[in-house]
Amino acid sequence: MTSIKKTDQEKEFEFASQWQLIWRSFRQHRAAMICGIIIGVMYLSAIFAPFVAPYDPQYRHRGFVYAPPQRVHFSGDAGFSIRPHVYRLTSELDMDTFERRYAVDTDVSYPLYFLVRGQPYKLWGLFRTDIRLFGTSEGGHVFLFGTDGLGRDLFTRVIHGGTISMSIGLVGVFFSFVFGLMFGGVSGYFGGKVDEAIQRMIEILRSFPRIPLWMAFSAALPGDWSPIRIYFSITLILSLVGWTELARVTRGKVLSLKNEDFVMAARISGTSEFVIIARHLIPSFISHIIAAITLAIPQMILAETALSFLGVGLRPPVVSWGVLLQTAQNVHTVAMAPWLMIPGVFVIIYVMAFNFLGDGFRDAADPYAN
Amino acid sequence: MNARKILSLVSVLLLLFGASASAAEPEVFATLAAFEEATGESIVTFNEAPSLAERVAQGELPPVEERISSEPLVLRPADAVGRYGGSLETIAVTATSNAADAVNIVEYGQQLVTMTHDLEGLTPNLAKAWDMSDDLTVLTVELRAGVRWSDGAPFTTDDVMFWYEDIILNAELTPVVPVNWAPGGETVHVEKIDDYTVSFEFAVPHPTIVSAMGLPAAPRHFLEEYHIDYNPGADDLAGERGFDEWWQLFNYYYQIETNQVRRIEDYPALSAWVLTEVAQTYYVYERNPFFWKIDSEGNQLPYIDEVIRTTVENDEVYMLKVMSGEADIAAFSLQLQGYPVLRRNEESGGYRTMLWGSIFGSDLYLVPNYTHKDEVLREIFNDLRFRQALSLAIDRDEINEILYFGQAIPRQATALPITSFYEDWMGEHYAQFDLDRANELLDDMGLAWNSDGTYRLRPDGRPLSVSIDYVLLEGPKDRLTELVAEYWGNVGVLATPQSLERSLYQQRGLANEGDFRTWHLDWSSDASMHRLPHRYRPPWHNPLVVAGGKPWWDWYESQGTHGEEPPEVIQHLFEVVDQWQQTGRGTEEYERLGREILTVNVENLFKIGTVGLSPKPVVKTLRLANMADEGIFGSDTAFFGPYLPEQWYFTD
Amino acid sequence: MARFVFRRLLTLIPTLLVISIISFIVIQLPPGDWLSTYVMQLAQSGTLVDQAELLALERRYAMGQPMHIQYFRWISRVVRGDFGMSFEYGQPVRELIQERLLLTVFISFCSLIFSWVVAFPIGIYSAVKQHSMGDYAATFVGFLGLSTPNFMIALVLMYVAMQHFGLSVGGLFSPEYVRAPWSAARFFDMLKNLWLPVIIVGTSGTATLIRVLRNNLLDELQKQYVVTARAKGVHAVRLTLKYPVRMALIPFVSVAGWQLPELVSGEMITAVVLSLPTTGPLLLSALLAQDMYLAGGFILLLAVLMVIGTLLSDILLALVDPRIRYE
Repeated sequence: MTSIKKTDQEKEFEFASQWQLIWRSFRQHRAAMICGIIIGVMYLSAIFAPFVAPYDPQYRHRGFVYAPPQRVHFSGDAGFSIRPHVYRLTSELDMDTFERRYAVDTDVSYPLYFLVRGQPYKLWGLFRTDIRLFGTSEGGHVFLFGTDGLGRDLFTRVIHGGTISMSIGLVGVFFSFVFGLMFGGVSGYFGGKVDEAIQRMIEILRSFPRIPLWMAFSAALPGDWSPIRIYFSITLILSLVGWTELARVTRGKVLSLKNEDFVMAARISGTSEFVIIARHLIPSFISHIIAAITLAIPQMILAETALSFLGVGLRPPVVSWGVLLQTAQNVHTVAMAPWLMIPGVFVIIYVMAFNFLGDGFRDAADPYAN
Repeated sequence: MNARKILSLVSVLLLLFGASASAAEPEVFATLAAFEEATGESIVTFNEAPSLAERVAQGELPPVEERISSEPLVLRPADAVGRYGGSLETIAVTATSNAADAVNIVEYGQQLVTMTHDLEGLTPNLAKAWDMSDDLTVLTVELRAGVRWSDGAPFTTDDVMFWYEDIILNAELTPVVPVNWAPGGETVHVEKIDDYTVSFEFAVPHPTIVSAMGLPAAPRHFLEEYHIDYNPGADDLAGERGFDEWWQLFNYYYQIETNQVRRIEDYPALSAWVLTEVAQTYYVYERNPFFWKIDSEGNQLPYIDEVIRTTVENDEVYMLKVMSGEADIAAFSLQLQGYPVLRRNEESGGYRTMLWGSIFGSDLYLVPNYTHKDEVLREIFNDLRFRQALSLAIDRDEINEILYFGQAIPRQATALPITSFYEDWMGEHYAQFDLDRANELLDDMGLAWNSDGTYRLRPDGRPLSVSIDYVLLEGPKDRLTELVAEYWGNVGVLATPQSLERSLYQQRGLANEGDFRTWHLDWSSDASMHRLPHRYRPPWHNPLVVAGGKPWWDWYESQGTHGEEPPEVIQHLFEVVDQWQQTGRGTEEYERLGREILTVNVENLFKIGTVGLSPKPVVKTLRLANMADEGIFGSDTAFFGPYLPEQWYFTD
Repeated sequence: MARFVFRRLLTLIPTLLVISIISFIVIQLPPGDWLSTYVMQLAQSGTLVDQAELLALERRYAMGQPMHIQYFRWISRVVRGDFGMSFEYGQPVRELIQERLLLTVFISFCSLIFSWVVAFPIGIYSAVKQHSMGDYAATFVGFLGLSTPNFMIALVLMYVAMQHFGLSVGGLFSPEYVRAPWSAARFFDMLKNLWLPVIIVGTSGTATLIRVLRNNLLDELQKQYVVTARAKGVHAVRLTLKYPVRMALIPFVSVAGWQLPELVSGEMITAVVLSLPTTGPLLLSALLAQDMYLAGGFILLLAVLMVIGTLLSDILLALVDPRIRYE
């Protein structure tokens, strides 16, 4: 009985496709698996941001400037209850020191409900609805991450900021991917003068300090562009510098593969150079590329926050993690409203998760190694 | 009264009356003689700092009697006669910036005439007296006799003539003479009367020159070596130092761009402290042994040995250093929003946080581009009802509550209340929050809502959407513009705040681009506005920066040959401003014209204001004495200068 | 070997030329010039400036000429070692840069060493104990520095240092040593203040190194000689350290060269927040103020340093691994 099963497994292994093998090896990397799930959840919440967030990102709650995060309670006077609730916040301004002090009023509690009707919104600009993932009863307020200096719910803004920031990572990497694959592939395959020229170009781009390059390009963007155009330009700028790493990986792989027998065979049978690169070479190292991309995405996010910090990236009223962090970048916030740095925690989680995921991919990329 | 000769004694008396409100104000006496005459006291012996006494003993310096000039200015300190010693630690963001606490502490003192801190009067300084002719075209200045530069060389009218003949009239050093010295397009004529008397003659009446002249003099003995007219080898000298032309090396020392921080060690100066060491992260200013002011007991000023300016790279480190007590005095990079944190660390940092008055008539004012390239927007912007509606749509009380702890004043964008021709209605004009009225006005204009009722449409059917350009400096302009945009959205005007980098902002202004442009309303008190009325006529900002309506300014400046002809009311405004600038301050005519300028501006709401006069946090160490507890902090008053840092001292 | 070095040196010339051109374009790209920034600076502090003054300045700084003429004027001087004058400081660019470059190189070097010291054990451990909890924990620590935005952590650490430990923040020296001449005591005082930037900059580079080391080691550990040695019963730790680690270190060297630009960029942002007297803040303010010659000279110099760094690591690599020379 057992021996037959084993044979099945062996068979399965022998006949498995490349991707099945990769998946099999990837699963062994538990951290990568967990991180993959985390990233999935983050992207889901970004896609459904208006649904997940209880409020509009620009909506100000009057009287709740710099409100600290509220704790979600399960038990109250009436003992334990399944229905979570938050307590009302009351504030007072100390007229001597101008400190805003918030107190928790345990007499008034607002139960939290799932799928409640809140402020109306248009999902993806298509569906008009007012159903939100969670919220409080009428007249209540829930600030899981507190509010900012204008009284806007930070949780909402972090979720919405994620949409922009995380898509910058994807879009930027897409551009890098296209550039990197193109230059790297050409460079590795043709070699000689072409290779030399592209290698020098990469060397120049890599040795050029990145920040001045970013700053110059961003500062050169016209002042009357809409935020969305600025956004795309900035991703382009980021990928302009980011493609070199991908090109290097591609080139290395092409170099090692181009003299393999199957390429020879294709060439002898008269296949065009383009088809050889596109049909035969690229698929054979695509797994390595995916690993490299996974590691490039978080770089984009970090770059986006750095640009915002330097004051040349996205700017309010656009909401991105970089913008949120930039507005939190002052002593006043660190001392009096540290919760405004929560977007930074999201950046850390995101970058970390992608790094583990990338390592998992990389380990799995060459399934025949083991 | 024919000649308004402002004698030293008269000015002292004026000051005495002006200062009578508070006991703890320093008093200035133009000369020793004036002091003795006014108070009946006499000063027979003079004292100096121990370190200087030592140098005198070693024969490095002449005795104090010879160093303080033959007519020293006498200061009665604010609270007490101080003790010598200590170094005043200050912090500055970036090494070259002139916006630094130290700069105005150190360099303010070397003007001919200074302004009092209440923005009302003038104080004799290096000039012991001055006289303006009746027709306001000739200014005669009497210098203090026997004053010496910090290296001991005498300071006389020869230094003024050197400045005039060899710098101002030298085409290589001064290709174009600044307007201040060439009103009406004609360069001033300067004449030396004797060693200590000099006269400045202008082609047109130029009353503002007294408070605006600064130090029209240069250390001839030092600079001659680098001037081609005095040293034929000046070009070679410049070449040896890596410059192409002699005037470049000359400028390296003289620094015509006086707005940049002086970085030359031991360059002759007349101020209380002189720059003696320039290092990467700090500057040291040591006491000037030849300083020409004494206290009422004959002690040579300043009391404090040296001023240190430590350079940091950003506002946050500035703030942290202040909080940890590393600054003895600080204000420049402090914001009201940081006040609670400052207060929290007072005890551990050993300092006190004060709230001073500000010189911003409005912390943010907005100007639509009246000469917009888009004809439709231009027509809308030029409709007074539109501006009235937008002004009424702003909830100034809420702005005040959210961003200013309720400490600012909701008001229209106009002059400070202390201005002599200001009237209360001006600040209140259309500064109420009235959404119904705002909507009514916009409806009147025929700006209909779209079918969803989410925004209004322009006459050509496109959404009425405008951008608000701002530069993030001097206060929370990002959050201010975000709030304003939200308020305008409530009445159907879609507004997008747009944060611009400094030079981009400037370039867009010059190119007549942008919908609404914003700034903080400085230059809004008597003296400052009279000197530079840029905030009260097109383009409602410096013409090199521009808020709105740049072609109108071009038209005015080119006398109708360039730009665009402005409407009648603007042409009239230009005329009145010109007339006012040539009218002496304090006269009835001056007030009438000034009032008219404000009235035209406010009634037409050329600028839309938000909140103004928000207090400014100022921090001083508990050890610092003779330093005012209340005051106004801003460029109009040259920041700390008028609080007379030379009489500050440390109590321990 | 000599031929290899010679060939690499030869390719340096066009590279440097292109870099100088890009440097110049980059500083010219943003709208406006130093004068516009200057005007705005004055406007901010409420200082008077008029058209006349601006015209004078424009003439004085010979602005407004076509770009290629300005470039040739600039580069022909740079070749002779004259980087021109900073508009902002009115001081020769070379003097300004000299002062700060040494410290930057020192901090970058310390950060590099620091990241090696951290990455080395983590990399080996996580390769040997692949997929263990320890592997994940060690990698987590290694990645933390990479994931945290430098500017955020710098401000928080600075605040904590000031508020809770009463340390003086900003700059590299305690107040009592700021004005003191160089001495052993001053040097040690600097080291005391150096750990903060070194950790912040260094940790952001560890992740890459850990990854490289780990992957190379994993490859190496599967090789025949290791398996043989293991089968023969050679002690595990000794075995790993003796050969595979050594082999795995070879690519490490080349990565070190590529790490330089990252370090300098990281150093730049960190130094701005921490207010260090290094090149970062000066370069940043020069860029923002469009101080053309200062920014241009800086970028050029940094880029050249990078190129040389890469070259050195290439040569080093060729020395360690003879195969490279004949590639």
